[in-house]
Amino acid sequence: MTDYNLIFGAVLLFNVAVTFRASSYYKKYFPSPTDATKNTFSDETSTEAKSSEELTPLSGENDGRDSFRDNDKEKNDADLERGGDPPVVSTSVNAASDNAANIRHAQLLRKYLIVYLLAALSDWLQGPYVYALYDAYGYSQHEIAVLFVAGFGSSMVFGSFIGGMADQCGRRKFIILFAVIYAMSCMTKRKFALYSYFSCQMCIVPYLHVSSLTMCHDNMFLSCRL
Amino acid sequence: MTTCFFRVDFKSFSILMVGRLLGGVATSLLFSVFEAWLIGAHASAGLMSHLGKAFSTAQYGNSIIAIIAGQIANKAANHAEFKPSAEGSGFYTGGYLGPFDVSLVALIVCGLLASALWEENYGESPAENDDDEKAKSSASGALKKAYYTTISNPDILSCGIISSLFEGSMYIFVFMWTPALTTLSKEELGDEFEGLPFGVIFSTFMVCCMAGSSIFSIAMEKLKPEQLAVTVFGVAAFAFAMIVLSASATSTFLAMNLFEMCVGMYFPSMGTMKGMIVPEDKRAAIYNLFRIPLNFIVLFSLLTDLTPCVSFILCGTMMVVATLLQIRLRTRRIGGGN
Repeated sequence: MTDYNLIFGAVLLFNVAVTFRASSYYKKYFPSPTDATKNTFSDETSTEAKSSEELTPLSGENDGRDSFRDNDKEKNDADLERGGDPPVVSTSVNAASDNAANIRHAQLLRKYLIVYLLAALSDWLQGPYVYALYDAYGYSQHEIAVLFVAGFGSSMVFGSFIGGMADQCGRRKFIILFAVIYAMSCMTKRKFALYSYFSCQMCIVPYLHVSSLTMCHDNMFLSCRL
Repeated sequence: MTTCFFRVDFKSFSILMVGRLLGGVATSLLFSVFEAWLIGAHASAGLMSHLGKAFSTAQYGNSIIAIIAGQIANKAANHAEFKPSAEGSGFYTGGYLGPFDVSLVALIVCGLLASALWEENYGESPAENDDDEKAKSSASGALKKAYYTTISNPDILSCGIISSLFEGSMYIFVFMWTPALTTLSKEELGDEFEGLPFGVIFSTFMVCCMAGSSIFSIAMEKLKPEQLAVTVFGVAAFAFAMIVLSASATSTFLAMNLFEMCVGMYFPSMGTMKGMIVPEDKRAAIYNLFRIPLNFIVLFSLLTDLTPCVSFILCGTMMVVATLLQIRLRTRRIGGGN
Protein backbone atom coordinates (compact mmCIF):
# COMPACT_ATOMS: atom_id res chain seq x y z
CA MET A 1 0.00 0.00 0.00
CA THR A 2 1.41 3.33 -1.02
CA ASP A 3 1.64 5.85 1.79
CA TYR A 4 0.82 9.06 -0.08
CA ASN A 5 0.89 11.23 3.04
CA LEU A 6 4.40 10.07 3.90
CA ILE A 7 5.66 10.83 0.38
CA PHE A 8 3.93 14.22 0.51
CA GLY A 9 5.69 15.03 3.80
CA ALA A 10 9.10 13.96 2.50
CA VAL A 11 8.74 15.93 -0.72
CA LEU A 12 7.52 18.96 1.22
CA LEU A 13 10.62 18.90 3.44
CA PHE A 14 12.83 18.63 0.36
CA ASN A 15 10.99 21.57 -1.20
CA VAL A 16 11.41 23.71 1.92
CA ALA A 17 15.16 23.00 1.92
CA VAL A 18 15.59 23.73 -1.80
CA THR A 19 13.44 26.86 -1.68
CA PHE A 20 15.41 28.16 1.29
CA ARG A 21 18.67 27.47 -0.54
CA ALA A 22 17.38 29.43 -3.55
CA SER A 23 16.08 32.36 -1.49
CA SER A 24 17.88 35.54 -0.54
CA TYR A 25 17.83 34.44 3.13
CA TYR A 26 20.36 31.73 2.36
CA LYS A 27 22.79 34.27 0.95
CA LYS A 28 22.25 36.46 4.00
CA TYR A 29 23.07 33.70 6.51
CA PHE A 30 25.64 31.67 4.55
CA PRO A 31 27.48 34.06 2.27
CA SER A 32 29.87 32.18 0.00
CA PRO A 33 33.43 33.57 -0.06
CA THR A 34 33.10 34.98 -3.60
CA ASP A 35 29.73 36.55 -2.77
CA ALA A 36 31.14 38.06 0.41
CA THR A 37 34.01 39.80 -1.35
CA LYS A 38 31.64 40.97 -4.09
CA ASN A 39 29.24 42.36 -1.52
CA THR A 40 31.79 44.25 0.52
CA PHE A 41 33.27 45.58 -2.69
CA SER A 42 29.94 46.83 -3.98
CA ASP A 43 29.12 48.25 -0.52
CA GLU A 44 32.31 50.24 -0.54
CA THR A 45 31.79 51.54 -4.01
CA SER A 46 28.26 52.56 -3.20
CA THR A 47 29.42 54.28 -0.01
CA GLU A 48 32.04 56.11 -1.99
CA ALA A 49 29.51 57.07 -4.59
CA LYS A 50 27.24 58.38 -1.87
CA SER A 51 30.02 60.26 -0.15
CA SER A 52 31.17 61.86 -3.38
CA GLU A 53 27.59 62.84 -4.15
CA GLU A 54 26.52 64.10 -0.78
CA LEU A 55 29.74 65.12 0.85
CA THR A 56 30.91 67.59 -1.73
CA PRO A 57 29.30 70.60 -0.12
CA LEU A 58 30.46 69.45 3.30
CA SER A 59 33.98 68.50 2.32
CA GLY A 60 36.49 69.12 5.04
CA GLU A 61 34.05 69.05 7.93
CA ASN A 62 34.63 65.42 8.76
CA ASP A 63 35.63 62.18 7.22
CA GLY A 64 32.04 61.24 6.50
CA ARG A 65 32.57 57.49 6.29
CA ASP A 66 31.46 56.77 9.85
CA SER A 67 28.37 58.95 9.77
CA PHE A 68 27.24 57.18 6.60
CA ARG A 69 27.28 53.88 8.40
CA ASP A 70 24.64 55.20 10.81
CA ASN A 71 21.00 54.94 9.94
CA ASP A 72 19.32 57.28 7.52
CA LYS A 73 17.41 59.31 10.06
CA GLU A 74 20.42 60.36 12.06
CA LYS A 75 22.28 61.16 8.90
CA ASN A 76 19.48 63.35 7.62
CA ASP A 77 19.15 65.13 10.96
CA ALA A 78 22.86 65.79 11.07
CA ASP A 79 22.83 67.05 7.52
CA LEU A 80 19.92 69.36 8.26
CA GLU A 81 21.78 70.80 11.25
CA ARG A 82 24.69 71.60 9.00
CA GLY A 83 22.50 73.82 6.88
CA GLY A 84 20.33 71.49 4.78
CA ASP A 85 22.16 71.65 1.46
CA PRO A 86 19.83 71.26 -1.55
CA PRO A 87 21.15 67.88 -2.81
CA VAL A 88 20.77 66.33 0.65
CA VAL A 89 17.22 67.60 1.00
CA SER A 90 16.31 66.21 -2.41
CA THR A 91 17.65 62.77 -1.50
CA SER A 92 15.69 62.74 1.74
CA VAL A 93 12.56 63.77 -0.19
CA ASN A 94 13.29 60.93 -2.61
CA ALA A 95 13.64 58.53 0.28
CA ALA A 96 10.33 59.68 1.72
CA SER A 97 8.53 59.34 -1.61
CA ASP A 98 10.13 55.91 -2.09
CA ASN A 99 8.76 54.93 1.28
CA ALA A 100 5.30 56.21 0.39
CA ALA A 101 5.45 54.33 -2.91
CA ASN A 102 6.38 51.15 -1.05
CA ILE A 103 3.39 51.54 1.25
CA ARG A 104 1.03 52.22 -1.68
CA HIS A 105 2.46 49.22 -3.49
CA ALA A 106 1.96 46.97 -0.46
CA GLN A 107 -1.70 48.05 -0.35
CA LEU A 108 -2.17 47.44 -4.08
CA LEU A 109 -0.46 44.06 -3.83
CA ARG A 110 -2.61 43.01 -0.87
CA LYS A 111 -5.85 43.78 -2.66
CA TYR A 112 -4.62 42.09 -5.84
CA LEU A 113 -3.40 38.96 -4.11
CA ILE A 114 -6.56 38.32 -2.09
CA VAL A 115 -8.66 38.23 -5.27
CA TYR A 116 -6.08 36.53 -7.50
CA LEU A 117 -5.25 33.81 -5.00
CA LEU A 118 -8.95 33.00 -4.48
CA ALA A 119 -9.30 32.66 -8.26
CA ALA A 120 -6.20 30.45 -8.41
CA LEU A 121 -7.51 28.40 -5.48
CA SER A 122 -10.81 27.74 -7.24
CA ASP A 123 -8.90 26.60 -10.34
CA TRP A 124 -6.49 24.32 -8.48
CA LEU A 125 -9.32 22.82 -6.39
CA GLN A 126 -10.94 21.38 -9.52
CA GLY A 127 -7.73 20.02 -11.04
CA PRO A 128 -7.30 16.80 -9.06
CA TYR A 129 -10.90 15.58 -9.27
CA VAL A 130 -12.11 16.35 -12.81
CA TYR A 131 -11.06 12.99 -14.26
CA ALA A 132 -12.10 11.15 -11.11
CA LEU A 133 -15.57 12.72 -11.18
CA TYR A 134 -16.23 11.91 -14.85
CA ASP A 135 -14.93 8.41 -14.18
CA ALA A 136 -17.27 8.04 -11.20
CA TYR A 137 -20.21 9.04 -13.43
CA GLY A 138 -19.28 6.03 -15.55
CA TYR A 139 -17.83 7.66 -18.67
CA SER A 140 -15.23 5.82 -20.72
CA GLN A 141 -11.67 7.08 -21.20
CA HIS A 142 -12.57 8.19 -24.72
CA GLU A 143 -15.55 10.27 -23.57
CA ILE A 144 -13.46 11.88 -20.83
CA ALA A 145 -10.75 12.61 -23.42
CA VAL A 146 -13.33 14.37 -25.61
CA LEU A 147 -14.33 16.52 -22.62
CA PHE A 148 -10.69 17.36 -21.81
CA VAL A 149 -9.91 18.27 -25.42
CA ALA A 150 -13.03 20.48 -25.53
CA GLY A 151 -11.82 22.41 -22.50
CA PHE A 152 -8.31 22.66 -23.94
CA GLY A 153 -9.63 23.85 -27.31
CA SER A 154 -12.03 26.37 -25.80
CA SER A 155 -9.28 27.88 -23.69
CA MET A 156 -6.97 28.08 -26.75
CA VAL A 157 -9.62 29.74 -28.93
CA PHE A 158 -10.88 32.22 -26.34
CA GLY A 159 -7.38 32.87 -25.05
CA SER A 160 -6.40 34.35 -28.42
CA PHE A 161 -8.85 37.27 -28.26
CA ILE A 162 -10.41 37.54 -24.81
CA GLY A 163 -7.50 39.59 -23.45
CA GLY A 164 -8.08 42.23 -26.13
CA MET A 165 -11.80 42.31 -25.37
CA ALA A 166 -11.07 42.83 -21.67
CA ASP A 167 -8.70 45.70 -22.49
CA GLN A 168 -11.51 47.50 -24.31
CA CYS A 169 -14.47 46.75 -22.04
CA GLY A 170 -12.75 46.91 -18.67
CA ARG A 171 -10.68 44.29 -16.95
CA ARG A 172 -12.51 44.31 -13.63
CA LYS A 173 -15.78 43.49 -15.40
CA PHE A 174 -14.09 40.57 -17.10
CA ILE A 175 -12.73 39.31 -13.81
CA ILE A 176 -16.25 39.34 -12.36
CA LEU A 177 -17.35 37.62 -15.57
CA PHE A 178 -14.61 35.05 -14.95
CA ALA A 179 -16.04 34.30 -11.50
CA VAL A 180 -19.57 33.96 -12.93
CA ILE A 181 -18.53 31.72 -15.85
CA TYR A 182 -16.35 29.49 -13.71
CA ALA A 183 -19.08 29.24 -11.05
CA MET A 184 -21.48 28.12 -13.78
CA SER A 185 -18.92 25.59 -14.94
CA CYS A 186 -18.78 24.26 -11.36
CA MET A 187 -22.54 24.05 -11.18
CA THR A 188 -22.89 22.12 -14.42
CA LYS A 189 -20.87 19.38 -12.76
CA ARG A 190 -23.73 19.00 -10.30
CA LYS A 191 -26.73 20.32 -12.22
CA PHE A 192 -26.10 17.68 -14.80
CA ALA A 193 -27.02 15.09 -12.21
CA LEU A 194 -29.82 17.18 -10.77
CA TYR A 195 -31.58 17.75 -14.05
CA SER A 196 -31.27 14.22 -15.26
CA TYR A 197 -32.91 13.32 -11.96
CA PHE A 198 -35.90 15.46 -12.84
CA SER A 199 -35.50 14.19 -16.41
CA CYS A 200 -36.09 17.52 -18.08
CA GLN A 201 -32.83 17.53 -20.01
CA MET A 202 -34.65 18.75 -23.12
CA CYS A 203 -34.71 22.33 -21.93
CA ILE A 204 -31.54 22.66 -19.89
CA VAL A 205 -28.92 22.61 -22.63
CA PRO A 206 -30.39 25.44 -24.70
CA TYR A 207 -31.17 27.28 -21.46
CA LEU A 208 -27.58 27.20 -20.23
CA HIS A 209 -26.29 28.08 -23.65
CA VAL A 210 -28.59 31.02 -24.20
CA SER A 211 -28.18 32.40 -20.70
CA SER A 212 -24.40 32.35 -20.92
CA LEU A 213 -24.49 34.02 -24.31
CA THR A 214 -26.91 36.76 -23.31
CA MET A 215 -24.99 37.37 -20.13
CA CYS A 216 -21.72 37.85 -21.98
CA HIS A 217 -23.49 40.02 -24.49
CA ASP A 218 -25.21 42.18 -21.88
CA ASN A 219 -22.02 42.59 -19.98
CA MET A 220 -20.09 43.55 -23.08
CA PHE A 221 -22.83 45.93 -24.16
CA LEU A 222 -23.06 47.62 -20.78
CA SER A 223 -19.35 47.84 -20.24
CA CYS A 224 -18.66 49.19 -23.69
CA ARG A 225 -21.26 51.91 -23.19
CA LEU A 226 -20.13 52.94 -19.72
CA MET B 1 -26.99 -0.27 -14.12
CA THR B 2 -25.98 3.31 -13.36
CA THR B 3 -23.11 2.99 -15.83
CA CYS B 4 -25.51 2.05 -18.61
CA PHE B 5 -27.87 4.81 -17.59
CA PHE B 6 -25.23 7.49 -18.05
CA ARG B 7 -23.59 6.05 -21.13
CA VAL B 8 -26.75 6.31 -23.15
CA ASP B 9 -27.68 9.66 -21.64
CA PHE B 10 -26.53 11.95 -24.42
CA LYS B 11 -28.12 15.07 -22.96
CA SER B 12 -26.22 14.90 -19.66
CA PHE B 13 -23.00 14.52 -21.62
CA SER B 14 -23.86 17.75 -23.47
CA ILE B 15 -24.29 19.56 -20.17
CA LEU B 16 -20.91 18.34 -18.98
CA MET B 17 -19.56 19.53 -22.32
CA VAL B 18 -21.05 23.01 -21.83
CA GLY B 19 -19.46 23.09 -18.38
CA ARG B 20 -16.14 22.13 -19.89
CA LEU B 21 -16.33 24.82 -22.59
CA LEU B 22 -17.23 27.44 -19.96
CA GLY B 23 -14.30 26.20 -17.88
CA GLY B 24 -12.02 26.74 -20.88
CA VAL B 25 -13.23 30.34 -21.27
CA ALA B 26 -12.70 30.90 -17.54
CA THR B 27 -9.13 29.57 -17.56
CA SER B 28 -8.21 31.74 -20.54
CA LEU B 29 -9.54 34.73 -18.56
CA LEU B 30 -7.60 33.60 -15.49
CA PHE B 31 -4.33 33.52 -17.44
CA SER B 32 -4.69 36.86 -19.20
CA VAL B 33 -6.96 39.39 -17.50
CA PHE B 34 -5.63 39.23 -13.93
CA GLU B 35 -2.13 39.98 -15.19
CA ALA B 36 -3.44 42.78 -17.40
CA TRP B 37 -5.31 44.37 -14.48
CA LEU B 38 -2.20 44.21 -12.30
CA ILE B 39 -0.09 45.93 -14.95
CA GLY B 40 -2.80 48.55 -15.53
CA ALA B 41 -3.14 49.26 -11.81
CA HIS B 42 0.63 49.66 -11.49
CA ALA B 43 0.74 52.01 -14.45
CA SER B 44 -2.07 54.24 -13.17
CA ALA B 45 -0.53 54.38 -9.66
CA GLY B 46 2.90 55.22 -11.10
CA LEU B 47 4.43 52.10 -9.57
CA MET B 48 5.77 50.38 -12.71
CA SER B 49 9.19 49.90 -11.08
CA HIS B 50 7.54 47.61 -8.49
CA LEU B 51 5.94 45.34 -11.11
CA GLY B 52 8.64 42.65 -11.01
CA LYS B 53 8.22 42.24 -7.27
CA ALA B 54 4.42 41.99 -7.69
CA PHE B 55 4.77 39.24 -10.30
CA SER B 56 7.23 37.20 -8.28
CA THR B 57 5.06 37.47 -5.15
CA ALA B 58 1.98 36.41 -7.11
CA GLN B 59 3.87 33.48 -8.65
CA TYR B 60 5.12 32.38 -5.23
CA GLY B 61 1.63 32.68 -3.72
CA ASN B 62 0.20 30.69 -6.62
CA SER B 63 2.55 27.74 -5.99
CA ILE B 64 1.68 27.67 -2.31
CA ILE B 65 -2.06 27.96 -3.03
CA ALA B 66 -1.79 25.02 -5.45
CA ILE B 67 -0.29 22.87 -2.69
CA ILE B 68 -2.94 23.93 -0.15
CA ALA B 69 -5.75 23.48 -2.70
CA GLY B 70 -4.82 19.82 -3.19
CA GLN B 71 -5.09 19.21 0.54
CA ILE B 72 -8.42 21.07 0.82
CA ALA B 73 -9.80 19.19 -2.20
CA ASN B 74 -8.83 15.91 -0.57
CA LYS B 75 -10.65 16.83 2.65
CA ALA B 76 -13.71 18.00 0.70
CA ALA B 77 -13.82 14.81 -1.36
CA ASN B 78 -13.67 12.61 1.75
CA HIS B 79 -16.20 14.71 3.63
CA ALA B 80 -19.26 12.79 2.45
CA GLU B 81 -19.77 9.59 0.52
CA PHE B 82 -20.32 9.85 -3.22
CA LYS B 83 -23.68 8.28 -3.87
CA PRO B 84 -27.02 8.78 -5.59
CA SER B 85 -29.47 10.39 -3.19
CA ALA B 86 -32.01 7.65 -3.95
CA GLU B 87 -31.65 4.18 -5.44
CA GLY B 88 -31.31 4.46 -9.21
CA SER B 89 -31.61 8.23 -9.31
CA GLY B 90 -29.14 10.46 -11.10
CA PHE B 91 -28.83 13.02 -8.30
CA TYR B 92 -25.41 12.55 -6.78
CA THR B 93 -24.16 14.20 -3.62
CA GLY B 94 -20.88 14.43 -1.75
CA GLY B 95 -17.69 12.64 -2.72
CA TYR B 96 -15.85 14.02 -5.73
CA LEU B 97 -18.38 16.86 -6.00
CA GLY B 98 -17.07 18.28 -2.70
CA PRO B 99 -14.04 20.09 -4.20
CA PHE B 100 -16.29 21.69 -6.85
CA ASP B 101 -18.61 23.03 -4.16
CA VAL B 102 -15.68 24.56 -2.25
CA SER B 103 -14.46 26.01 -5.55
CA LEU B 104 -17.90 27.54 -6.16
CA VAL B 105 -17.79 29.29 -2.77
CA ALA B 106 -14.25 30.57 -3.46
CA LEU B 107 -15.41 31.96 -6.82
CA ILE B 108 -18.38 33.78 -5.33
CA VAL B 109 -16.14 35.40 -2.70
CA CYS B 110 -13.57 36.21 -5.42
CA GLY B 111 -16.18 37.94 -7.59
CA LEU B 112 -17.59 39.92 -4.66
CA LEU B 113 -14.14 41.02 -3.46
CA ALA B 114 -13.12 42.05 -6.98
CA SER B 115 -16.20 44.24 -7.34
CA ALA B 116 -15.71 45.71 -3.84
CA LEU B 117 -11.95 46.27 -3.74
CA TRP B 118 -10.76 46.80 -7.29
CA GLU B 119 -11.16 49.83 -9.47
CA GLU B 120 -11.83 49.45 -13.18
CA ASN B 121 -8.97 49.77 -15.62
CA TYR B 122 -8.74 49.62 -19.39
CA GLY B 123 -6.17 48.72 -22.00
CA GLU B 124 -4.64 50.82 -24.72
CA SER B 125 -5.93 54.19 -25.93
CA PRO B 126 -8.17 54.44 -29.05
CA ALA B 127 -5.21 55.35 -31.28
CA GLU B 128 -3.48 52.13 -30.37
CA ASN B 129 -6.76 50.31 -30.90
CA ASP B 130 -6.67 51.23 -34.56
CA ASP B 131 -3.20 49.77 -34.80
CA ASP B 132 -4.45 46.68 -33.09
CA GLU B 133 -7.25 46.28 -35.59
CA LYS B 134 -4.83 46.72 -38.44
CA ALA B 135 -2.64 44.07 -36.87
CA LYS B 136 -5.65 41.77 -36.55
CA SER B 137 -6.65 42.21 -40.17
CA SER B 138 -3.16 41.16 -41.19
CA ALA B 139 -2.92 38.43 -38.56
CA SER B 140 -2.46 35.80 -41.27
CA GLY B 141 0.29 37.96 -42.75
CA ALA B 142 2.01 38.17 -39.37
CA LEU B 143 1.71 34.40 -38.98
CA LYS B 144 3.21 33.92 -42.44
CA LYS B 145 6.14 36.20 -41.57
CA ALA B 146 6.57 34.36 -38.27
CA TYR B 147 6.57 31.07 -40.20
CA TYR B 148 9.36 32.19 -42.56
CA THR B 149 11.42 33.59 -39.66
CA THR B 150 11.04 30.32 -37.77
CA ILE B 151 11.84 28.12 -40.77
CA SER B 152 14.95 30.07 -41.70
CA ASN B 153 16.41 30.16 -38.16
CA PRO B 154 17.30 26.71 -36.78
CA ASP B 155 17.49 28.03 -33.19
CA ILE B 156 13.91 29.35 -33.24
CA LEU B 157 12.75 26.19 -35.00
CA SER B 158 14.24 23.86 -32.40
CA CYS B 159 12.90 26.06 -29.60
CA GLY B 160 9.38 25.68 -31.05
CA ILE B 161 9.64 21.93 -31.58
CA ILE B 162 11.09 21.35 -28.12
CA SER B 163 8.41 23.40 -26.35
CA SER B 164 5.64 21.63 -28.29
CA LEU B 165 7.10 18.23 -27.39
CA PHE B 166 7.46 19.05 -23.71
CA GLU B 167 4.14 20.83 -23.25
CA GLY B 168 2.41 18.10 -25.28
CA SER B 169 3.71 15.40 -22.95
CA MET B 170 2.72 17.61 -20.02
CA TYR B 171 -0.91 17.68 -21.20
CA ILE B 172 -0.86 13.92 -21.80
CA PHE B 173 0.45 13.52 -18.25
CA VAL B 174 -2.26 15.81 -16.79
CA PHE B 175 -4.87 13.57 -18.41
CA MET B 176 -3.25 10.18 -17.76
CA TRP B 177 -2.01 10.28 -14.16
CA THR B 178 -5.45 9.52 -12.71
CA PRO B 179 -6.24 6.38 -14.77
CA ALA B 180 -2.61 5.16 -14.57
CA LEU B 181 -2.45 5.29 -10.77
CA THR B 182 -6.00 3.96 -10.38
CA THR B 183 -5.32 0.92 -12.60
CA LEU B 184 -2.09 0.08 -10.75
CA SER B 185 -3.65 0.45 -7.30
CA LYS B 186 -6.65 -1.67 -8.29
CA GLU B 187 -4.30 -4.40 -9.49
CA GLU B 188 -2.28 -4.25 -6.27
CA LEU B 189 -5.13 -4.09 -3.79
CA GLY B 190 -7.86 -6.01 -5.58
CA ASP B 191 -11.08 -5.85 -3.61
CA GLU B 192 -9.56 -3.74 -0.83
CA PHE B 193 -9.21 -0.78 -3.20
CA GLU B 194 -11.19 2.14 -1.86
CA GLY B 195 -10.21 4.99 -4.17
CA LEU B 196 -7.08 7.13 -4.13
CA PRO B 197 -6.41 10.39 -2.26
CA PHE B 198 -6.26 12.39 -5.51
CA GLY B 199 -6.01 15.69 -3.64
CA VAL B 200 -2.89 14.63 -1.71
CA ILE B 201 -1.36 13.20 -4.89
CA PHE B 202 -2.00 16.44 -6.76
CA SER B 203 -0.66 18.46 -3.86
CA THR B 204 2.56 16.38 -3.92
CA PHE B 205 2.92 17.11 -7.65
CA MET B 206 2.59 20.83 -6.94
CA VAL B 207 5.24 20.64 -4.20
CA CYS B 208 7.60 19.01 -6.72
CA CYS B 209 6.82 21.65 -9.30
CA MET B 210 7.71 24.39 -6.80
CA ALA B 211 10.90 22.56 -5.82
CA GLY B 212 11.77 22.38 -9.53
CA SER B 213 11.58 26.14 -9.98
CA SER B 214 13.75 26.62 -6.86
CA ILE B 215 16.29 24.17 -8.30
CA PHE B 216 16.24 26.28 -11.48
CA SER B 217 17.24 29.42 -9.61
CA ILE B 218 20.02 27.57 -7.75
CA ALA B 219 21.31 26.05 -11.02
CA MET B 220 21.34 29.47 -12.71
CA GLU B 221 24.20 30.49 -10.38
CA LYS B 222 26.51 28.16 -12.34
CA LEU B 223 24.77 27.08 -15.55
CA LYS B 224 23.16 28.64 -18.61
CA PRO B 225 19.50 27.74 -19.31
CA GLU B 226 20.56 25.95 -22.53
CA GLN B 227 22.75 23.60 -20.46
CA LEU B 228 20.20 23.05 -17.71
CA ALA B 229 17.46 22.24 -20.24
CA VAL B 230 19.46 19.24 -21.57
CA THR B 231 19.41 17.76 -18.06
CA VAL B 232 15.72 18.63 -17.62
CA PHE B 233 14.65 16.77 -20.79
CA GLY B 234 17.01 13.86 -20.06
CA VAL B 235 15.59 13.43 -16.55
CA ALA B 236 12.03 13.73 -17.92
CA ALA B 237 12.77 10.93 -20.43
CA PHE B 238 14.16 8.83 -17.57
CA ALA B 239 11.04 9.56 -15.46
CA PHE B 240 8.72 8.37 -18.25
CA ALA B 241 10.83 5.22 -18.73
CA MET B 242 10.47 4.57 -14.98
CA ILE B 243 6.68 5.11 -15.14
CA VAL B 244 6.38 2.63 -18.03
CA LEU B 245 8.67 -0.02 -16.52
CA SER B 246 7.69 0.13 -12.85
CA ALA B 247 5.15 -2.38 -11.62
CA SER B 248 4.15 -0.83 -8.29
CA ALA B 249 2.05 2.24 -7.60
CA THR B 250 4.73 3.64 -5.26
CA SER B 251 7.55 3.69 -7.80
CA THR B 252 5.22 5.01 -10.52
CA PHE B 253 4.15 7.82 -8.20
CA LEU B 254 7.78 8.67 -7.37
CA ALA B 255 8.65 8.78 -11.07
CA MET B 256 5.66 11.07 -11.69
CA ASN B 257 6.98 13.39 -9.00
CA LEU B 258 10.33 13.42 -10.77
CA PHE B 259 8.58 14.51 -13.97
CA GLU B 260 6.70 17.26 -12.10
CA MET B 261 10.05 18.55 -10.85
CA CYS B 262 11.16 18.75 -14.49
CA VAL B 263 8.00 20.74 -15.25
CA GLY B 264 8.96 23.19 -12.51
CA MET B 265 12.43 23.62 -14.06
CA TYR B 266 11.13 23.66 -17.64
CA PHE B 267 9.00 26.82 -17.50
CA PRO B 268 11.67 29.26 -16.28
CA SER B 269 14.38 27.66 -18.50
CA MET B 270 12.25 27.74 -21.65
CA GLY B 271 10.98 31.23 -20.81
CA THR B 272 14.55 32.52 -20.57
CA MET B 273 15.66 30.74 -23.76
CA LYS B 274 12.68 31.95 -25.78
CA GLY B 275 13.28 35.43 -24.40
CA MET B 276 16.82 35.39 -25.82
CA ILE B 277 16.23 33.52 -29.09
CA VAL B 278 12.89 34.81 -30.43
CA PRO B 279 13.05 38.34 -31.93
CA GLU B 280 10.98 40.86 -30.00
CA ASP B 281 9.00 42.29 -32.94
CA LYS B 282 7.55 38.90 -33.97
CA ARG B 283 7.32 37.39 -30.47
CA ALA B 284 3.52 37.05 -30.14
CA ALA B 285 3.10 35.63 -33.66
CA ILE B 286 5.91 33.10 -33.20
CA TYR B 287 4.55 31.97 -29.81
CA ASN B 288 1.15 31.42 -31.50
CA LEU B 289 2.88 29.43 -34.22
CA PHE B 290 4.52 27.21 -31.58
CA ARG B 291 1.06 26.29 -30.32
CA ILE B 292 -0.04 24.65 -33.58
CA PRO B 293 2.08 21.47 -33.29
CA LEU B 294 1.21 21.38 -29.57
CA ASN B 295 -2.50 21.28 -30.43
CA PHE B 296 -1.92 18.42 -32.85
CA ILE B 297 0.04 16.40 -30.30
CA VAL B 298 -2.70 16.84 -27.68
CA LEU B 299 -5.56 16.06 -30.10
CA PHE B 300 -3.86 13.01 -31.56
CA SER B 301 -2.72 11.46 -28.29
CA LEU B 302 -5.90 12.02 -26.30
CA LEU B 303 -8.48 11.15 -28.95
CA THR B 304 -6.87 7.95 -30.29
CA ASP B 305 -7.70 6.02 -27.08
CA LEU B 306 -4.13 5.11 -26.23
CA THR B 307 -3.74 3.18 -22.99
CA PRO B 308 -1.85 5.01 -20.22
CA CYS B 309 1.18 2.77 -20.83
CA VAL B 310 1.34 3.49 -24.59
CA SER B 311 0.89 7.22 -24.07
CA PHE B 312 3.70 7.31 -21.50
CA ILE B 313 5.93 5.48 -24.02
CA LEU B 314 4.99 8.20 -26.52
CA CYS B 315 5.88 10.88 -23.94
CA GLY B 316 9.22 9.21 -23.22
CA THR B 317 10.05 9.10 -26.93
CA MET B 318 9.15 12.76 -27.34
CA MET B 319 11.43 13.59 -24.38
CA VAL B 320 14.36 11.70 -25.98
CA VAL B 321 13.84 13.70 -29.19
CA ALA B 322 13.64 16.92 -27.14
CA THR B 323 16.90 16.02 -25.38
CA LEU B 324 18.71 15.45 -28.70
CA LEU B 325 17.37 18.72 -30.17
CA GLN B 326 18.35 20.57 -27.00
CA ILE B 327 21.91 19.16 -27.15
CA ARG B 328 22.13 20.48 -30.73
CA LEU B 329 20.74 23.86 -29.65
CA ARG B 330 23.21 24.08 -26.76
CA THR B 331 26.13 23.23 -29.03
CA ARG B 332 25.07 25.85 -31.57
CA ARG B 333 24.68 28.58 -28.96
CA ILE B 334 27.44 27.85 -26.44
CA GLY B 335 29.72 25.37 -28.19
CA GLY B 336 30.48 21.75 -27.26
CA GLY B 337 31.66 20.37 -23.94
CA ASN B 338 30.25 21.16 -20.51
